Amino acid sequence: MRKDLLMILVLASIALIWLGLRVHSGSPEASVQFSGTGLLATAPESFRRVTEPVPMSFPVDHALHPGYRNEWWYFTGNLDGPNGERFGYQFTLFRFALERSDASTVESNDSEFAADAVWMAHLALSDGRAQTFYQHERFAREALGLTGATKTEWWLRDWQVTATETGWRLQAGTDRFALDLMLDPAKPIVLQGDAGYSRKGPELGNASRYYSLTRIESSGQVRIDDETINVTGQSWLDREWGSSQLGEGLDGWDWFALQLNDGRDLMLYRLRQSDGQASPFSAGVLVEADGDYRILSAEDFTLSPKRWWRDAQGIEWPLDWQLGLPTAAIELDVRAVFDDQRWNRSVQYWEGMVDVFDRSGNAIGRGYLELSGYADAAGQATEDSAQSVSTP
Amino acid sequence: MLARISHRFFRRHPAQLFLALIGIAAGIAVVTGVALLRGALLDSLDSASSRLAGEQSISIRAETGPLQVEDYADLSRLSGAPDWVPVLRIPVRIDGQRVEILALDPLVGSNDPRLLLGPGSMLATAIDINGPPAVLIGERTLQSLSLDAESELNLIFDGQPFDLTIAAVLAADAELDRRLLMDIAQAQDLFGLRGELTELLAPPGSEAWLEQNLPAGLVWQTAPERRDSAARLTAGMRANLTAMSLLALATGLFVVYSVLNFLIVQRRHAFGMLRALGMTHPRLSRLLIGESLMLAALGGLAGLVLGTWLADRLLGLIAVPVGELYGQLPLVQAAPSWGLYALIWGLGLLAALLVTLPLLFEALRVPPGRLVRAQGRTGLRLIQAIGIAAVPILLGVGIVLVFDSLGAALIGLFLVLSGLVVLIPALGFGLLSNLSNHLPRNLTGRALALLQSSRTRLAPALAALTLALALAMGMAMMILGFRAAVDSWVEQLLRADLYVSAEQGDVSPEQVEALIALPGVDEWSSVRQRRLADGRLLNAYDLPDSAWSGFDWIAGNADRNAFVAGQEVLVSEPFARNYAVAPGDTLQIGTADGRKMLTVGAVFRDYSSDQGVIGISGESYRSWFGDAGRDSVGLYLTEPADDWVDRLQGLDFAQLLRWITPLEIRQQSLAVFDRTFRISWALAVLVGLIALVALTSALLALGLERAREYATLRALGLSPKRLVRLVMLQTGGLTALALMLALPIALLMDMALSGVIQPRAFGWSVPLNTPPLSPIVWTMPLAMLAGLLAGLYPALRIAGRPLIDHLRAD
Repeated sequence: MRKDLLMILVLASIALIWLGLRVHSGSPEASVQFSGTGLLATAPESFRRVTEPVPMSFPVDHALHPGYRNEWWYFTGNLDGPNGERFGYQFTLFRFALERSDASTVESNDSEFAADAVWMAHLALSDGRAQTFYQHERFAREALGLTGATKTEWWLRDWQVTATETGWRLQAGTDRFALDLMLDPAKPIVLQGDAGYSRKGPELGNASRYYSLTRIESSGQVRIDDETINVTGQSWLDREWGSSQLGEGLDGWDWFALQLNDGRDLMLYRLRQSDGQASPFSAGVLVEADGDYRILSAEDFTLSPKRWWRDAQGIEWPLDWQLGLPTAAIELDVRAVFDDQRWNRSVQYWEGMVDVFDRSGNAIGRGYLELSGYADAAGQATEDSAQSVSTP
Repeated sequence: MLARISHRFFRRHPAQLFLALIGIAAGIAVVTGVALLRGALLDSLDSASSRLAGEQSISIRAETGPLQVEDYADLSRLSGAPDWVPVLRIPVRIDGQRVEILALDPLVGSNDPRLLLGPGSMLATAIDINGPPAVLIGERTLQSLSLDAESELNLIFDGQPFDLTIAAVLAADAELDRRLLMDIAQAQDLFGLRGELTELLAPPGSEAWLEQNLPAGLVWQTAPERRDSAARLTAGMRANLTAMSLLALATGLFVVYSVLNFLIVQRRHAFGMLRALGMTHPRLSRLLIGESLMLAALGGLAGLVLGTWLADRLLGLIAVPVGELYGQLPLVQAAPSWGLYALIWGLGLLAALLVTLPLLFEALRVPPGRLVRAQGRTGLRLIQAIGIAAVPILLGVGIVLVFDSLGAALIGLFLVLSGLVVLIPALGFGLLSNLSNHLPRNLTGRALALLQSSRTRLAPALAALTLALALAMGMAMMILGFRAAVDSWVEQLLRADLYVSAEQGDVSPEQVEALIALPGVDEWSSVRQRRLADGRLLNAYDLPDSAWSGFDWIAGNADRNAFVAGQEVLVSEPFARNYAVAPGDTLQIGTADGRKMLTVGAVFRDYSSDQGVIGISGESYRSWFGDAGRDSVGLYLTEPADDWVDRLQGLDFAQLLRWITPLEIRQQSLAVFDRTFRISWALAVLVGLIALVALTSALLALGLERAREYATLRALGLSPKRLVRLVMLQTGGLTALALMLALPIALLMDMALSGVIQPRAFGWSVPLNTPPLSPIVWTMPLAMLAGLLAGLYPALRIAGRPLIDHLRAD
């Protein structure tokens, strides 16, 4: 009897397993992320490279520069509501040119959808009250007028920046949140590096063209769900384009854009090498209240992380920093207004509003901090350790 | 102890166990198979869209014609516009199978993880929008096409061959069955479809924005609306499937009943012993219920497996007709869920429990210590049986007459069938007793008289057998009758001598002019079909008198002048039923010339689409839609078509045309019909198989159970040869009896299916004709053969074994 029972059980189990396999025939779950560093490190030969200073002219250089691998229009800003509410925002358009393949080129493709560049737009709003970070990402192909940048207009679908008499108007939003800001530059354009030629690595072509508007008076509205709040504040614009601008062996970067209450603005970026050291090509700029500016090189400043935040995925991000600029007698503490201002869409990075303090703890300014490459490095570390475990 | 008793019994009678399991498994398998098939037909409708833009996505289309790319560009830049997914659907064939290319922009859409397809690949990274044209294909689709990831895909689009490579294979995913994903720019370029879009998908929650901002000429449909209108397309087919599967299940249940009944009857003696040994009623009940549940659990499990397998096979059968007739792409494989499995399995247990209860009462009536076999009760007298059967039969007929729905028709049919189940044994044995009274007292007479004495245990088997045979024959008769109706309809409708259409696209007005100007053309007709934005089909007819007279009017007074003048439209019978319109009602259709209110003039017979069509005059159509093309032109010739074709071939654009005679159309129509009804045939065959199981189980049971009786006969001097004859006479006689009873029920079944179920499922009626008799001609000898064979095994067994074994056997 026991033998029969066993046989019945075996047959029933086989039937159940077969049914189970049929029920669960695949529900793919996967995610894919681009590595920000990776996107900027390589470019095929066919792209133009930035190898020397070239005079810039405006507004022509506000428009896109064909032939380069990548280009971006990058707004960040700190905003205040009428009742002391704090907001931070980021609006970015990235253009990424596609590799030209001989088999199929835009010219030979008989479709209005044919494109040789892809754009990505990032819109984020940090709500200081509830410490909530809203983020939305969009892509579009450079076709059918879906996206583009001219001297007077930069857009991806209905997210747009249009030139006004004194500056720009920025309009972008989703169901959850939206921005409508008038942006009027308070200082002239700053050409980074050598007249806009910003070297980021040892090879010829490890460079970008880079200019900034470091202080832009901003006013308008932010909307969160159905609540619309009037805001005023200051924004920052970074414009950059090039091909293969990052050199070999870089893990990522830490980028600071600080607006001090005394009218000075400070931009610093530290390129992190795989060995943990700052690259000698790290740089910055100090802009005086009157708009004069001085380019800073890696030796001019020190940056050391003071506090790390561990996100839900276990990745650690340095959110509080100590910053020293001895030649200008500047000693600062930079602290994130709140921790979770982390992008988790196709590119993983931390971009959020920060407060600036002097060494006595007095608030002396605000700004934006961007941390890149930490998620990629964490992913790499996991892969490495997995490998070392499986190798005897 | 209880388990041990059951185990001992089944160990000694494995054939009984097997029959019981097969009966249950067959019933459950048919229900599972059809339930999965229904699901696969429904699921396939909108799953691709939900994959791309979310479960509740909204589809935006142009009211007339394809959506223009410029519309998309404009809509994209409107403030607050949703994240559109532009989609171009391209119907292609691979190796004769219909597949759809979903050409889309992999970069847009929400950031929903739904866009992440397969391990480690997002659409945007899997499709190289700047590379050579390539497609993404689901693993299941790839398998169904018998291809692998390295294969080159040879597609046929619009009659032209195209080769494509596979960029990546997506993990098995039912939602993208029979669909290939491709970049829209590559697809437009490759297939020469620049500027065209099929639809825009918007994420759920965009309704308010669409309400405010969608420009005129564009219409939107939410996912439920889309599912509804798509589900309506296959509603007839699904309803038909359900009806058939329930009939098959009913037959299966009778098989189970007859097998379980036999298990009990056979063990009366054993139960008497057990009762004498002190087994109480509750314990005996537990034994029997436990046995039934165990059998149902195991048989049910086997049924689920078989049913899933069956659904996958049947899907292959219906994929082509569903694609051709409804433009829908069913799943490659059925998509079962644990919930559905559990439901069907649970229902199987419940059904087994239900059929056990009456048997249980009978078993409990076995008095303790009863060692002598109980004399079978005489059963219901015919008059009693008629009295009892009349209640459900009359109730069933009443329900069918009063309520107009398919559900009511099914309930009614079941009531009638259950009435018949009561009636069949009484009628059958009444017939048998009459017959045996008139037969001489030779072997034949004795054999039949002996049958009469086993009435109790044979009654359920006879009912199951009769019903199964009747259903199988009735279904086959319905299909054949319907086929004949379609044939004569096509014949009547096609009055022209030659039908001309274009190799690609449509026949242009200039070509029509040139065609009808040819000598020998007496009159001409034409038709143009268009699917309206809401999914309804519109046929625009140019009809001369002779073509007009080809229509078979079902309701209303068709007025040709009013039709030609655009004052009246015609609707097909399924349309009238599906949309509940009658002559005199008005219909609204969206045209390029604005909305039109049209009066329905008459309803015509039409088997070409169970969705139904609206017929309008060609003249009105051309002025309202600005479309002067024709799909087909019918030519009425004054000379034989074969000779006249030479004139046609003389035209300079002749190579752009193709022509076909009414005879060929008729053959093609019947081919389509046969493909469509393949699944009904498959179900009829299944019911036939169940009938075979019922037959075999009943007869084997009869033979095995009476082993001792036969042995006694042999001991009394009956030779083995004569014994074999006796047993086979009995099984053959029972089969003949069942066939006799099944004949009138099969005719009734045919009438019910053709006259009630079909019109309510598909919306079309079948004119009453002489029922086709070939299914009867086929079934009779087959059933008789099976009946005799089923008798042969027990007969030989008894004849071949030492007498003493059988005399000792319980």
